[in-house]
Amino acid sequence: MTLTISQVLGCDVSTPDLAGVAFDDLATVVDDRADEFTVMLRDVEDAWEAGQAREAALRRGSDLRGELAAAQPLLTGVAQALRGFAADSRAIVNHLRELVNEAEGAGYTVTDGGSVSVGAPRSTAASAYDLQRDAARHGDQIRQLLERADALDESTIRKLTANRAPNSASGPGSGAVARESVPRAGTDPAKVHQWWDSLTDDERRYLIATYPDLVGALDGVPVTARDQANRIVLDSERDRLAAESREMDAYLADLRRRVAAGEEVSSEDLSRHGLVEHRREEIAGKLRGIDQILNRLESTDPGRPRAYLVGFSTADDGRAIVAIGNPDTADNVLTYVPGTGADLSHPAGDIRRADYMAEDANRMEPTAQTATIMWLGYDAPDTLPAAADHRYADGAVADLNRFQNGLRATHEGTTASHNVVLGHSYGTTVIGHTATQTGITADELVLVASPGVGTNDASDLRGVSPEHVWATRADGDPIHWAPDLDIAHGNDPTRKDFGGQTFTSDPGDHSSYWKENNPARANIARIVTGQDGEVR
Amino acid sequence: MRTAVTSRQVRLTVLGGTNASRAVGPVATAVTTGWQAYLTRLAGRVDGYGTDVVRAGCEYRAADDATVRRLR
Repeated sequence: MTLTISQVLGCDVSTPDLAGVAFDDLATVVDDRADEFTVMLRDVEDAWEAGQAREAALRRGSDLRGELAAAQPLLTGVAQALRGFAADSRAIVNHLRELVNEAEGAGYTVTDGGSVSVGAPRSTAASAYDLQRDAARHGDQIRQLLERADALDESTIRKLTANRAPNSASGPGSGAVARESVPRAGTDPAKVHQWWDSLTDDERRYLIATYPDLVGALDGVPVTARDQANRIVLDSERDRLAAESREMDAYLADLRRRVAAGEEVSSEDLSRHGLVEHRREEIAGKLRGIDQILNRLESTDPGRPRAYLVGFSTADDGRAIVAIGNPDTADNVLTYVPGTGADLSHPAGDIRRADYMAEDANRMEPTAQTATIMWLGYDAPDTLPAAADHRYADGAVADLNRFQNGLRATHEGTTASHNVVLGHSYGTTVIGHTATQTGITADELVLVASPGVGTNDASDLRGVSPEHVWATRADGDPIHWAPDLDIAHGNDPTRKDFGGQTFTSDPGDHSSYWKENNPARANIARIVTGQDGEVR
Repeated sequence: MRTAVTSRQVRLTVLGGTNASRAVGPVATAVTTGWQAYLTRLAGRVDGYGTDVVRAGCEYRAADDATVRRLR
């Protein structure tokens, strides 16, 4: 151990945070330039019809485009490393300051190296043996934190080095890995993690740049790598959808012009018109959702935890998994499963809830780090009548189970994080079905405004004991009609005979739980930070 | 390409000052400096490419037009 207390307490957390934000900005700038370059190359291809010089120009242009594209995930990696360092350091500094103050307040002498001694004899009721033991305990805790700061330096150096600017000597194609060697979707996250660990930095960079859709979707790949990959996927999907939307606009404008001009319009055109209108609306919704996600990903408020795009897809209704803070390095991790109506067209509200829960937990326990995850990794029911159907929950079981296992597999350090899975509304049904069918890797489950979880007994929820299953429901929340009338999913988990724990919420409607000053928020923060005894 | 990789944007003093005594400080500064140099070079090559292609494209057009004129 080389670090001292003064070195750690003197750490200027805001500078790496700001630098990290600047690198995130830079990644966006470079990505925009890569997009502009792609358009320019297309123009060159169209305008310059033939010849050897044309071929050479296109080849060189394509190489340059590749270099620009390859820079983006690396710049994102530097941003992750710096902002992660800032977030971890903040928690370490807060904790260390608290321990040193406590030790000095008790009259002990604390050296800069972290040793704690009793010092001069004082009049106290405690025996010399007790004092020495207490001083040693403080010393151990302080040394552990200094070691943690040391380990943070090492891991940050590793991450920075892995994302340094490319060496001009290594040409394109270095670190090439065959697509077939990437584990298939659904592979056990522990095996995926072993595979990822076995790769070199160059191979990882190659995979992220070449197969971002595969890497970004794999549970067991570290969150930082998934974030790099999914940002590429999101960007290319946004471009693809925008281009498709423009094509449809042009088609519809042409059709309108033909109708206005009294030209003949085929029945095929007329029936296609409806489909195109529908698809255009669907795309507009996805593009709106993408913008909402980008809005959070590109947030440059340095005090705010960095957001990580852990999963993203526009297939079907779309999927989005957004983490507030890095779950792989956090002490506490909360996975939030939203309910009915959640989809890719409007993820902002659910991301905001994840932000609130991270803020609440980090404020309540500033000596530890809490990351929260908005897990829209399933197809949620679109309407209330559809929410009576358990098939949406069943469809999510394997994915939620594997995602939680992935969090365990990729968590850094020797101590496992304290993992909580929280559902709202139909999200609680998803959690219930997962826990009863496959078990769920979590330390606590939180069921907010549940229509029922598919079982009437907390002890059926495998993986978490009933004393760590928490439920709440606001007076006035109409959701109680679902379990009261036994519409579909079983009893209300706030009932005494369910066998779990309950906590207080203010009276309110179905989405009132995240309102400011609602005691539900403080209670959730207590559960997340392991202060179960304080939950009211 | 307008890379705009300015020292203000990437804050070259990254972990200097109070963090200079931490092992991560010099590495972060070196990585940042490396990126600035790399992106500045890359921006130069991309800008140069644009200029070359426009010039070559114009020469191609001129040669093409000249050929067409000759063949008339």
